[in-house]
Amino acid sequence: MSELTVPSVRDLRQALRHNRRAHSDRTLGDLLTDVYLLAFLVVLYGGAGAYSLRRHLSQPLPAPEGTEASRAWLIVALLVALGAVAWRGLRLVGPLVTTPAVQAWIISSPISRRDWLITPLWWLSVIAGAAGAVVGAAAAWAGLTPQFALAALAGAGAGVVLAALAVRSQADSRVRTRRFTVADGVLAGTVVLVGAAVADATARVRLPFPPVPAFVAALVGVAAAAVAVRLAIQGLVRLDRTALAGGAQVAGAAMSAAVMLDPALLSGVVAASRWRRMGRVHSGHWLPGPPAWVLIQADLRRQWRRRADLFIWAALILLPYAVAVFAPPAVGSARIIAAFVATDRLAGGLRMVVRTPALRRALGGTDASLHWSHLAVPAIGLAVWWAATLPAGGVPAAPVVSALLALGVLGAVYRTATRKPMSYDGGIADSPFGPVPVNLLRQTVRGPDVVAVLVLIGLFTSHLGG
Amino acid sequence: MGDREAGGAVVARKAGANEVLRIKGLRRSFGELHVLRDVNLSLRSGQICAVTGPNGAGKTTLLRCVAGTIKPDAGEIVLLGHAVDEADPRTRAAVASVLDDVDFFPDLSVAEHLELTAYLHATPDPVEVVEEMLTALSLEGARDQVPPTLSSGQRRRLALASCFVRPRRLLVLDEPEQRLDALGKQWLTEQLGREKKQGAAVLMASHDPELVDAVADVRLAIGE
Repeated sequence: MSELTVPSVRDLRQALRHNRRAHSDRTLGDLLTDVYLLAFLVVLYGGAGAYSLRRHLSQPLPAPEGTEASRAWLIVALLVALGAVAWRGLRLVGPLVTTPAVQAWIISSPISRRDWLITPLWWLSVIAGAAGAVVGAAAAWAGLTPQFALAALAGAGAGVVLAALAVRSQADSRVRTRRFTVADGVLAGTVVLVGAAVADATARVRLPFPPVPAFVAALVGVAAAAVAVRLAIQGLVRLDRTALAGGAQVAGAAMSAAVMLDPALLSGVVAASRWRRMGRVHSGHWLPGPPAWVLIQADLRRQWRRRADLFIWAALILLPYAVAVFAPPAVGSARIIAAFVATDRLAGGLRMVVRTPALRRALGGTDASLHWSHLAVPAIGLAVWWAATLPAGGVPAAPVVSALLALGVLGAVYRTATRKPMSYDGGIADSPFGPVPVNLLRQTVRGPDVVAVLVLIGLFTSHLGG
Repeated sequence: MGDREAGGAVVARKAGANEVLRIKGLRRSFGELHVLRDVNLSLRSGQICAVTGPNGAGKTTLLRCVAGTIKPDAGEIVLLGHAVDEADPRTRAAVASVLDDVDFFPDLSVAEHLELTAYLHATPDPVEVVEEMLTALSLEGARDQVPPTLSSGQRRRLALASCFVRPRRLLVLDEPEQRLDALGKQWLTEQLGREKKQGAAVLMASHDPELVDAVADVRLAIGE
């Protein structure tokens, strides 16, 4: 019996590339056209972006007098929150994602799993590092430090650490079944931190911000990144089919949602994956009453089970207060936008009923009665949220205008939730910026368009009534 | 048993008294493809009509027209004296359906789903009815599970259970035997028999000759 020779990953990749080329009818001309277009877009938009960034970086955000420490704490809180959200996002999709064909190669063949997966790991680290660098520079611009380059380096290190540790966590099967993760705890901690910073700025209790030299942060970031990447590489051999395939579905749905401009394509897959992890709930009975009352009970119970949405709703209460510390003139607009985002989190039941004809048939009643019953919880949530953020300021002095703005936010939430599945028919209109798919645009902005109008009304009426 | 007419149309005899559903001259096309041509049917209370035919013949299209989820190109569908409209609460109150678009709230358990349906349709003793249905369909073990965790067979049984925990005048079932095991099929046959006795009309598409032979009063052969 002859001895089997396992090809190296490099040889296998080369062979696959060769086969792909043999089956492809793409000419060199096509390739050069694509490269030209890509380079054109990178130069055009990248250049504009870089110019805009340099201009902004040369003009640091002005801070209201005496709020420097609070601002610094808020920036740290936002960075931590961003890190926790990024962690959740990374873990949701993998973060190492492979096609089913690659999964078959690395699971079912004796090819070196580590060697195959190390290339995507490097790419992931580069992308995460670049994203982290941008965030670091933004934090410096917002007032954390005047040393942009070192802040960007520290940010890049943090980005790589997050991505690499997420890969390590992906390889750990024990972590996959946990309901609550460290990221959840960090997010909760962030809310406390923002609350403390807001209280600090409002009550003028000065909590000094520790003076950490930027080069120390950058050094720690780079060192931590090196250790994290080493840990991730060690974990690559333990990545099994479940770990690699789990996020591929979410990543595919995210891609479809982005291409088709329909976030529901992603949210459905994410929700199903979350509930599959949850598995069972404690069933309860409904209190007897008219249909609307039973539907409201069901919506409340579902809301209670979607604690992450409730958490975001509650956490967003702090946003207008935080903006009041950063940029007081923007509080009114930020409050309207945050109210919309917070209330929209509570409209999952309405979205479900609108998009699912089978549910409407099963539940009975009219479409209007089903819609109104599922709007009750968002309406109550908005009323509480609106009242809780009144002290942040930025509210039109005339109570009627304030009430109308709140009603408008509810209308925007209703409009967003009752958006029908995307239709890709419709004409293209010529504009000075090129062809515009009018129907697609109209569907995409359904809901946020009302918010934009409300922001304008808020700005124009902020001085009315005293 | 009703009589079969040429062209796949069947008219149940003695129509008129206790008529639940009347379909007259129904046509439906998808582009150039004529799926349903001049379908006529009258279904009385306590009658079961089995729609049979090969895949792609238009069985599901007919059922979806009757449930009101798609509009016919021509003809009329009258349910208890009024034209079928999916959004009409009278249609929703009268028709319990299991079609190919079945879906559930992902965050309510199996038992909660059934109880919610029962309450919304004012079923007497909803908790008791739901418990009986969970036992009958062997879903007791899954009572606290959320729908995304159910197997395809369990989802099918939950969809069927949703129809039977609420009052109904017409059951519209698209291949109800699909994904059911032998015991499940036996239960379905018995349940459909009970539906007849209780006076509900049933319009179902099926590929199972045994089930059709056991329960159907009328057969509507499409595309044969």
